[in-house]
Order: sequence, then C-alpha cells, then structure tokens
Amino acid sequence: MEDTAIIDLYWKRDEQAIVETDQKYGKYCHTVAYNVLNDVEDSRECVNDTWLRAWNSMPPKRPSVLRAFLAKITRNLAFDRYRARSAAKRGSGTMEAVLDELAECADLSGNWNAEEACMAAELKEAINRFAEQLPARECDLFVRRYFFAEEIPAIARRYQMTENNVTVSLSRIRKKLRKYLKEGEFIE
Amino acid sequence: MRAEDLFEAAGGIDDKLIARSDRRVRSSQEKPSSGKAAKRTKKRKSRRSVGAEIYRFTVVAMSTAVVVFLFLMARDLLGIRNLSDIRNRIASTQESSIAEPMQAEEAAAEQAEESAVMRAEEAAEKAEASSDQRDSNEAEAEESSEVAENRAAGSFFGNKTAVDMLGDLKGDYVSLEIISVEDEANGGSRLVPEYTEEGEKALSEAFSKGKPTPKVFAATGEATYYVYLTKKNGEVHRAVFYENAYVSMDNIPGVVMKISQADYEEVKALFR
Repeated sequence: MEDTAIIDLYWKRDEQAIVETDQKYGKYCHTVAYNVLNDVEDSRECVNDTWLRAWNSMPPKRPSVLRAFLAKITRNLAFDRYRARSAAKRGSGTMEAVLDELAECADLSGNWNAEEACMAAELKEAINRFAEQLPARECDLFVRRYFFAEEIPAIARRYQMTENNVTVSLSRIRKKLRKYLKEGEFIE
Repeated sequence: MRAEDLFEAAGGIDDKLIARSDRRVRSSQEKPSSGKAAKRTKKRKSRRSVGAEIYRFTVVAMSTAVVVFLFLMARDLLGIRNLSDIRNRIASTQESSIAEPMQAEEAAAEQAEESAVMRAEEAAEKAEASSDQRDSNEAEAEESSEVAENRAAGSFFGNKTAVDMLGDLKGDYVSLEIISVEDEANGGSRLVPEYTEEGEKALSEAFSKGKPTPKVFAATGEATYYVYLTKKNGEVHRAVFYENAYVSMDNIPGVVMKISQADYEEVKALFR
C-alpha cells in the first residue's frame, strides 16, 4: 500500500493503518530499534510503542515521508528506553561506541542542566543544519552512524567502503561537528 | 552537554535527509524486481565482465609485445648475439688497447738490436766470424721458411684447418701453432696441429666458454703448453695452458680461464 493511503487510514482512524504500517515498515523499525537497544524483545516493544505514537500523532500530523517519520519515532523511543535501561550501568555495544564517539564533540565539563534545556531545540536545529551542509556521502555516513546507530561494518557494506575508510571519514565528520558546535557556542 | 544529548539532538535531523540516506542505501542494495529486469542486469553484468576480460587480455598482450619489441631493439642496437660473442668483443678491445704499446716496445727493441748488430758487424775483425754469422742466418732463414710453408699449408681434416679449431675466434686469427713449454725451452719448433673434432671442441671451450677467474685466485699450476695465434695483421698472441686445466692469454693479463679437465686432456692430445 502507498504511504499516502496508509496516512489516510490514520486520519480516518482506521485500525487497519497499524496493520499496514506493521506489514510495510515493521522490519525496518525493528532494525532501527535494535541498533540502539541491541535486544530483540526490547526492540519489539519499542516498535509497538512506535505504532501507538504514530496513531496519536496522525492526525494532526501528515508526514511527508512516512518511512523517515516512523524511523525518527522509533529511534527516539529506543533511545529513551536505552537511557532508562542503562541508567544504573552502561554496558557495551554499538550504542556505547556511538556515544563514546559523540563525547569527542560534547563539552563534558560544561553545564547542560535543566535551565539550559531550552537550548536542546536549538541544538537539534544546529545539528540538522550541520548535516544538511555536509557533502552527500558524509551526510549519509553521519545519518547512518549517529541517527540510526548502525555498526561500522554494516555502513561499510552499504556504501561499499572499507571499514577503515568509514572510521576515518566519521572521525573527520566529528572534527567538523566539534568546530561547528564551537562556532555556535554550544560548547566551549 | 553530554554525548547522550548530542545523540538525542541528532534525532532532530530532517526527515528528508533521513529519507535521502535511506533511498541511497536502498538503491545501492536494490535487487531487480521483475524477471526482465533481472535478465537485463545479468546481461549487463556479463557484458561488463566479458569487456573486462577482453580489456585485461589486450593489456597483457600489448605489454608483452612492447617488452619483446624493446628487447629486440636493444639486442639489435647492442649487437648482442651470444655470450661468447660479448666475451670476444671484450677480449678484442683489451687486446687492441694492450697490443699498441706492446708493438711500440717491440719495434724499439728491434731497432736497438739491429743497431747493435750493425755495430758488432763493423767491429768484427775476423772474416771467419762474419762467415759463421752468415751461415747461421741462412740456417735460420731456411728454418723460418719451413715454418711459413707449414703455416700456409696448415693441417687438413676435410676442408678444415687448424684455425677452424678456434671456433668463434677463427675469423680473427689466420694461424694456430702449438708447442709444449719444455720443447720451447729446448729450442723445439712449433707444431700446426691436425684438425680433429675433439681438438676443436677443446680449444673452443678453452677460448670462449671457460670461466674467467682472476689469476691471483686460481691455482693454475705450472704452464704446460703454449698456443700461438697469428692475426691477419701479423700480430701474434700467445695462449698458455696450465696443468690444472687453466688457460690464459698474454694479451689479457691478470685473468685465467678455467676449462674442464676433459677439454684439457683433448688439448694435450693434439701433441700425440
């Protein structure tokens, strides 16, 4: 079924919308969740939560790209679940590696508390702009790694690059991001 | 700000960017959906692989052809025929560089000798002494004319002469004579050896296929035979055979050639 038809079903409050979405994007969303959570059961629950949130979001929303819309919901839900799960202890896995990498760009000594949380929206915007200005291939790598939290070998296979090449490219992107965030005064 | 905050913020990336990245990934992994498309892809791939094979083959063939061409060109330019040819060329270069000063020395010595003889003749008081001298000169002249006849006649083996025994060198030399060291010391005359196939093999081996060795490192043993080689221009080169199957040329100092013991025995057989 076409995405527009599925969205129409949501707008009509037809529960068939969830069945169709699950058929078309179930696997995809499961992969997105699994990249972050690294757990099949958690990922399945996360996908179910995604359908619920999508049901609650449409209407009023009418996403232009349903696939990306669902991916974003899944990813954010998965990350929330990841944070809740790893509040006590941090394990090891792709997600930890991704966060370690991003720590290079974060200002760990700086204050990022509730008062400054309003900056979060600005930070989102900044990162979006940063991704937009990257060359196509670098943008893809950035999205695959820091949005989808994909493993480096998987990214290398997707873009027919060597793992080393992907690692080096990501390192350069992080350097650019750090510089960009400094210029935007998000970090010192 | 923590890494988690950054990761969360990355969740705000525009849907279009995410969709674009997804599209690129899908298009690179996409498989042809219909049978026709699959056939088309298969055909295209096989065409590509056949093309690649042809290209590879062409490159290899062309590069081989270029290498062979360059080799032939170099061979032609350098005039390389075979290893013995190179050795001969080197030897002849050394000969010419050595022969010139030697010839000058010989000429000077001859001149001095002649003038001494003249002075001696003038100073000679006795007629008997001068007549004896004349007799001995005549005897020497007779002897040398015999040698010359021998040289001219050579020894025949079919149509082959002793010079043919020199193998590759025979173009350079017109006469070959041989004498043992002992006979030469006793004033014996040189021999023109009879041509034999074994003799040719042995001499050719000795002159062109021997292994050059610095004389100081070679245990040559005593000199046993001399072989005199006369060039077209009258120059005479002496080759010395040693008891331990080595050969040296007087005009190539410091180097001896090792030959096989069997070949050395063949050279020795030329005297029997």
